[in-house]
Amino acid sequence: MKTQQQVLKFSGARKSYGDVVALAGFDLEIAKGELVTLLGPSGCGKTTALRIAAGFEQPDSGTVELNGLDITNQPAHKRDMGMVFQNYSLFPHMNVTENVGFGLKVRGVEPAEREMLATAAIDRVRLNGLGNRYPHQLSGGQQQRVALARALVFEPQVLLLDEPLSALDAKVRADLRDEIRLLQSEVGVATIFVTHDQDEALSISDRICVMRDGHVQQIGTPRDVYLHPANAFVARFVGAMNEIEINVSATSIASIGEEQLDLNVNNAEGPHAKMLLRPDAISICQRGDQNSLNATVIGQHFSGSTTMVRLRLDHHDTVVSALLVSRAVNVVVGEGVGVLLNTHEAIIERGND
Amino acid sequence: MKLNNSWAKILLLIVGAFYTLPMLAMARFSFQKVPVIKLGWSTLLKNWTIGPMIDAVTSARFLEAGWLSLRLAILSVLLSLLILVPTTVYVHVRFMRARAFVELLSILPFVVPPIALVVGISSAMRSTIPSFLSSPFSLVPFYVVIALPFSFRSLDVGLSSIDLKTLVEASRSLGAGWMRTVSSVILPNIKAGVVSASFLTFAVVLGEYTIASLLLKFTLPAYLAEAQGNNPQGTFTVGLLLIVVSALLLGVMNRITRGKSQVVSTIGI
Amino acid sequence: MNITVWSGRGSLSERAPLGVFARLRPWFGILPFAVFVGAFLLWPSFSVFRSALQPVEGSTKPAMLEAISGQYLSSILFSMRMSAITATLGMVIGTLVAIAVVSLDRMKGLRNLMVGYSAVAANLGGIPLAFAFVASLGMQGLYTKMLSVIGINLTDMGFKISDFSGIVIVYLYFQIPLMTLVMLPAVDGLKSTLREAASNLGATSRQYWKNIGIPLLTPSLLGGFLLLFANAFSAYATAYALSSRGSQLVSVQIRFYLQGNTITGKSNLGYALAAWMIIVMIIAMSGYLGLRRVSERWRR
Repeated sequence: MKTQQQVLKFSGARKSYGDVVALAGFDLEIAKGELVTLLGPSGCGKTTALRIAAGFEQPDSGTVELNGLDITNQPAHKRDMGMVFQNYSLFPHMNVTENVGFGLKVRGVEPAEREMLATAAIDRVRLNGLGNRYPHQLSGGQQQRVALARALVFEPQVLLLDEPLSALDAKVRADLRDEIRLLQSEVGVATIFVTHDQDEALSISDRICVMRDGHVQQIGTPRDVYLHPANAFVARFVGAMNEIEINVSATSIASIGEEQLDLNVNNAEGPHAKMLLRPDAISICQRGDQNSLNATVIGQHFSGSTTMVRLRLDHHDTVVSALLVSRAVNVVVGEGVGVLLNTHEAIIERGND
Repeated sequence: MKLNNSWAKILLLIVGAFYTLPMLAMARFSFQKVPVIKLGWSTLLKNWTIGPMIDAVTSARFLEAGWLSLRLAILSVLLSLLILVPTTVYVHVRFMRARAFVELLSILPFVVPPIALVVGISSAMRSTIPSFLSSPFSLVPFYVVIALPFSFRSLDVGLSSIDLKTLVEASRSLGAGWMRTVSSVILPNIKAGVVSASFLTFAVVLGEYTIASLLLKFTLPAYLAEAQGNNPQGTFTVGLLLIVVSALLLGVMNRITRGKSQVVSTIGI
Repeated sequence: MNITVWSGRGSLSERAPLGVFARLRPWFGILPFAVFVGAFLLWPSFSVFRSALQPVEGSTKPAMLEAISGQYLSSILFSMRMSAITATLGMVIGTLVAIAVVSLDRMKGLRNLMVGYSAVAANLGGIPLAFAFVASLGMQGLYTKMLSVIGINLTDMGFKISDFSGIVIVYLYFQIPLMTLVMLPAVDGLKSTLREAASNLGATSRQYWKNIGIPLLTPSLLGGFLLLFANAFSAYATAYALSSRGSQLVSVQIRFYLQGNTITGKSNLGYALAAWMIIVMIIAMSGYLGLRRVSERWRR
């Protein structure tokens, strides 16, 4: 990955509004063709970072470089980037072809060529023949596709997407998400995708940058971020997590209520720690099996190929969810079973004393 | 779309001054018995009096005109509601297809300026039904017509902003007949629209001069035209009063509709 | 408890295919309203046209044609000039006010205040307004005096509130707020995200205005102009109150022709002027409504 050309680079970008730190020392490099998602809750700084890249905000300190050139103070309209907005931002008085061709028009492309390129772009986003329609005649999903065509037609260096799917229905969202990824990788443009939806992030990104309160929490592939979250926040934000209160002794023995487990994690001594465990790191066995905890099945949620089984631990008032392949599930509600925790994958969050 | 903040503030201050200064001048003239020529720093605070105002509002002519205007306003509001509420409710509940047509009829009054309307009234009715025009209350239907764009729009907006279809279906499925549905379910929910329509009509009637004067009816604006000769100051106070009352009506109406997010266009169109 | 059975044609449920008479039945519901409008608006209006199409005494031409010839044409043109000027000034200033209000959207309550006030001021007119301006800028006006104290003598400059420029100023009092009310939604529609989208696509400030800002505002600007024009054209009371004699405005002229109609014998001319007024209003208002529909479509 490092051998690929770095297109966009943030170095120590900082932005504050009065007392509020919107973005703190942001460092990120994006390679050509790579899709990096900025993921986090509202106020985490992801949109600020995007707008700094676009040129709509100026960082208080730090730089932004495009292909090695410092563009920190370059005005937005001179940066060679295409942006897609949450609410489409199509020009209402222009039809689809004119909207898509606008970026070409301001770059001085002749009308004939403009029309040709615009039509090609429109076909590419599967809106063939709709060139004469106006935005108010199109559905949300169609409008967003026009926005996409408009942003890509002039072959920008960077593609910026600001929560492009948030305003759409669930079904449209899923379809468009995959189309965006497909298009993006076909075109091979460096892309920043901003969202608060971790499903979106996990499914389409090359890398995810998880953010919180202006700070980067972790940058890694979706797999990295999911399987090896850097801290409890990332663990909770990306994917579902079970939380179990434990007390850890000096010898790394964890006590859950009265039962004890051999915890293979150091550095966690103290009471009231929390163990975070993915649902797929929990399995069901017989009562009394080695290293298992006793539990009772209190519910099952069938979703086709997988089933989420909810269990209440007998000696500890905690409910956990175990994600199992449906075929392997043969328990009923009310049954007493044993629960195996794959503590290798656990994250221990220290208690606050 | 941004204008430099300082320019924006300056502009609004100038426009704000343009809006308020005439009213201040009118108030000063009404309440201060100092002719402009003699006005200076020394006389600025002298001779403020409500004497002329008292004279005006207690005068027989004022009371006559005021009483007539009041009755005309109330009757116009009642007639407006009587005709429009059933019509708009009917259209929204049972006959939405006709809404565009009804809306068109409601804005037709805009294309007939009051002066043109009144000469038409004379020409049409003077020969055919002369006795009608001789009554001062003949103004009422015409006032309803003039206020139509405002009153229709208020009721229309009010009805559009509630989920009428669902309310009616719920009411009917619970067993209520049409009359019950209209009175217990629909009307209470369009109170804001009804109030707006009433206030707007009332304000229109109070301020209408053209038709009243050409049909020789003695309403408040006609009083203003007549009385300015003998008691200019008092007459001006009445004028000021009219402005204040209209402003209050529209202001209260704005408050009410804003709360219900039923923004009514006060220009009627 | 009795559950009322859902029934009825033309109700919110499905309708069965209908015969002609049955198809007409729903229209009876709006008959009272239509009859009312017909009787008290359409009948007088038709009457105006009927008289307008008759010749003036001593001529064979229909009065309407006579009204647009020679000396009579001047009052129509005068009114149009007056209306166009107040409409233009009102359009420019009212739009600037709308832009200013939207720019200062961080100031709480400012917008509500302006909208509320504009709603009142746009409907103000007639005699009280004339009074207010006479008290301000008339011969004995408060501000006439104040201005003369600082050296600006309006009377010497030949300014009279009852003159053309005076009437223009008075009309602006309700024209500006009217335009503000028309333009506020349009300026809102110029959302900042459109500006950002344009900028991101490479447009400079000037390119943005030329390709997006001005085209988006134009229908509302033109529509507002037409509305203001119509508003000024049809005004009567204010002009009459300011200068009851010798006013060349059509509205006041109509009164003149019809006042002593049995004596002058030119009453049909008055009707003709009224008829032409209506025609001008129809054109202006249709234009306004058409343009408004365009801009509303764009605002989704």
